[in-house]
Amino acid sequence: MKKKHHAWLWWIVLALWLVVAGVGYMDTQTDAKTSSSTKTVRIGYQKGDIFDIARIQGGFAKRMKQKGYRVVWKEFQTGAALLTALNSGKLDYGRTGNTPPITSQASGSKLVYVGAASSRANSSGLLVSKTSSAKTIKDLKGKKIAYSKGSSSQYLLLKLLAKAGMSANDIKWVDLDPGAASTAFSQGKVDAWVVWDPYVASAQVTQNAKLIESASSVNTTDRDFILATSTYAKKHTKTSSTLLSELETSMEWANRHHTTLIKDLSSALSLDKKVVTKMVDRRRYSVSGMTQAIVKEQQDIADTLAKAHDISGDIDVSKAVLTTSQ
Amino acid sequence: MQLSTTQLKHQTALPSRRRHHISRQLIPWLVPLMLLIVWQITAQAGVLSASVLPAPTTVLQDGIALTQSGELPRNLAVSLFRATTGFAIGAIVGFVLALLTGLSTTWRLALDSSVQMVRNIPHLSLIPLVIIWFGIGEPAKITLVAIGVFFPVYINTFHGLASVDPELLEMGHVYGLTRWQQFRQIIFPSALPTILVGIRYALGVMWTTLIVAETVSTSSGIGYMSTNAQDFLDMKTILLCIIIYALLGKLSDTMVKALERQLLSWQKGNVA
Amino acid sequence: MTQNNPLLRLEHVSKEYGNQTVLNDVSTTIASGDFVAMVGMSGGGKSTLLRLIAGLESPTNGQVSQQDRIITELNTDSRTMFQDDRLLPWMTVRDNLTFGNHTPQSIEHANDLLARVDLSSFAESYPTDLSGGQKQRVALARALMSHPKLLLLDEPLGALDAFTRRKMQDLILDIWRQEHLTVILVTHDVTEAARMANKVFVIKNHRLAWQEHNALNYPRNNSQAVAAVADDILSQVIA
Repeated sequence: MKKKHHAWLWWIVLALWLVVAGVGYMDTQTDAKTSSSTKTVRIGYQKGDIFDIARIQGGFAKRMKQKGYRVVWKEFQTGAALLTALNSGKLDYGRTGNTPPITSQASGSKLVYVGAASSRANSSGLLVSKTSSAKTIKDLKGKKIAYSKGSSSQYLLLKLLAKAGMSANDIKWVDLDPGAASTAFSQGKVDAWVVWDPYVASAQVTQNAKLIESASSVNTTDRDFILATSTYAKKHTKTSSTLLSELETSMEWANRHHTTLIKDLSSALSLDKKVVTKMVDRRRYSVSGMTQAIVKEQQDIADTLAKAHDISGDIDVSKAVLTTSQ
Repeated sequence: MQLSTTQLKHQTALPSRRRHHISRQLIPWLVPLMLLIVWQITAQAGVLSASVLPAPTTVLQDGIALTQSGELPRNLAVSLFRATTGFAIGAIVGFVLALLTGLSTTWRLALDSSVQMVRNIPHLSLIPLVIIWFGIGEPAKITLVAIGVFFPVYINTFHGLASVDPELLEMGHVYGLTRWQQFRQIIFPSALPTILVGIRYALGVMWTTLIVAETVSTSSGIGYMSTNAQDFLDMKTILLCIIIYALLGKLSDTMVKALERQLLSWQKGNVA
Repeated sequence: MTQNNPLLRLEHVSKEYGNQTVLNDVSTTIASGDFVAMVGMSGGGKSTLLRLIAGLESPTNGQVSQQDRIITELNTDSRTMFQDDRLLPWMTVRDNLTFGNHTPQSIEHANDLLARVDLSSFAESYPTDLSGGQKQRVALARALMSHPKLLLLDEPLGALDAFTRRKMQDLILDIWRQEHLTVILVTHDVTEAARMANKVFVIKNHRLAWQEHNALNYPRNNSQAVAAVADDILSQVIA
């Protein structure tokens, strides 16, 4: 009979469970509710990128709305998931680094470049721990270097090796996504790490890691790109140009308001203010359409990856660009 | 996989003697408590730096801060919604399909071998497909959880229904039970312990699938909180999420156990 | 005896499984109110004969009829008790009798029968709390729930210890006499057959080899007389 006594207690637990789940349901509905009389633009972003800045700043969505577009933000944890969603038409625009559009073009997908962001050459590079004696990549011969396959760090590492006159076999390649690499690096499980901001800034500030080679030292830009499927981009050229010009307005705002930007970003990313400050201060934010020069940069990445057999066969980057300016 | 762990015993032997009773309830908590104490001491002594292993008190403070900011309750509610909906869909589909294949030879021939074939595919490898078919919103996450939950429920229900003692069925026939009565009085109660094992296992799968599902385009949920924290080496939030998962897992498991005690009170040792 | 109007009539009944003959041309009648014991060695066909009468299987040749109704499917006027109790472990003792049918009449009837087998205090218990003999008493009460004319007992006492077995025999005999049942008992215990039955069939080599009235008076407390009858039966079985 004692057991019976407890039964009602479990019914209460179950009821509470369902109530909380109901609250969760309401929560998931709030961003999907607004009506769709205006044209919807679905944008995929990752934490801390240019879209995220435009999103946090808020003005972007308002200005787009005035021009008749409703912006729906979709956050992704990995570039791979973002590209899958973009390819299957669940997104209209997405941002990635410089390498994903190349690997995805090589695998036959129909993504095109809509726009490019300014150089990140000073905030991407090769990190070693504060106790490491390595001064250049040459000192890392035979050592373990973390990178993320299919990301800009792969190309950057190939470039750094080429500059030092080393071959790909001279180091041990450790493929880790940034989250896992960050742990591995802080624990000394890898000797060096090729990555971008905010990871670089975070490692520099919190672990006193040293940035011994940056992308600028090998004359690469490590840009971000805004991508869309070619069918969508062809049909929505006006949307694309509006998006780019409004995004540029947001970027200008970001360049002028570092204090506010740092405050907003550090709370959105739950990152130390010092880390965000470092990241923001060494970068000028800007976006533009595709230019011949940028296409050439991308073509060099494609050729380098093809030579290293990281992509199968040669590709022509210009085929993935609808129009170029200048 | 443990899908066939139908032999798992259901809550055996509750001793009647009272002084054993209390110690029986306390002993399972001893190991977690010891771990917690050792953890706190090592963290305080500075054996491990706070970025590697923050003290339990730090984790607790993080939990309180996140609760006050509303972030934790909100993510918890969203995760609970996804888990519950996915579980309900997966469990109902699995149960109904197993009823068909378990009770009808035609359905069994038509479906069971296909299901058995598909069941060995790790369901998380379906993420790209789920994104393409269901998009990146809630349906995709719920579908993933539902797929994960479906198989243990289906397989255990099917197994439970198929392994009913034929002698009891013959008895039911001899005593003139209708087909419905046969099901209601003999087949279903006999399969129930196995079905409940499936449900318990499915609840575990529900949580593990949800963590992964919540790394696919989302900005809410406990899984999102923890991958986000991982990206920026926020150890205290990672640990907080792990502890929340452990507690949620324990809670759901305890609920099924309570359900078992109610439904299976006829088993020896369960009788109060 | 009412030989001209029997309850059960078996006419040239044969049963084959593939090439194997299990019963070969069995013909006999069983009168209403008879207590028949079917004895014989294992595999001789006596259990199959019981299943044919219960309508759980149909004969390859010949026919079984009960009161001019040919049995082709389940014989609903009979109830079978098996060697194992086959109680449903998830139901209380009383629900095992009513099969969860909770009308006042069926509950009252179940209570009466539980009183009859001396298990009233166990009505709310689950089978797992009962001894082997108690479980068989529940099974017996369950068999009587539908007021069957014919009670078929497939070695129901085989697994019980000697004392429990003796008490069960007396209980079944009591019920048989008070309820005016017809009972067919399959057993390989010749003493049990001698103690209980008024008619003994010996099934041997798939045939009905011998049938005889057992005229001892009830209650059969004279163990010497019972032993003598048992001896007779035994000599027929092994002859």
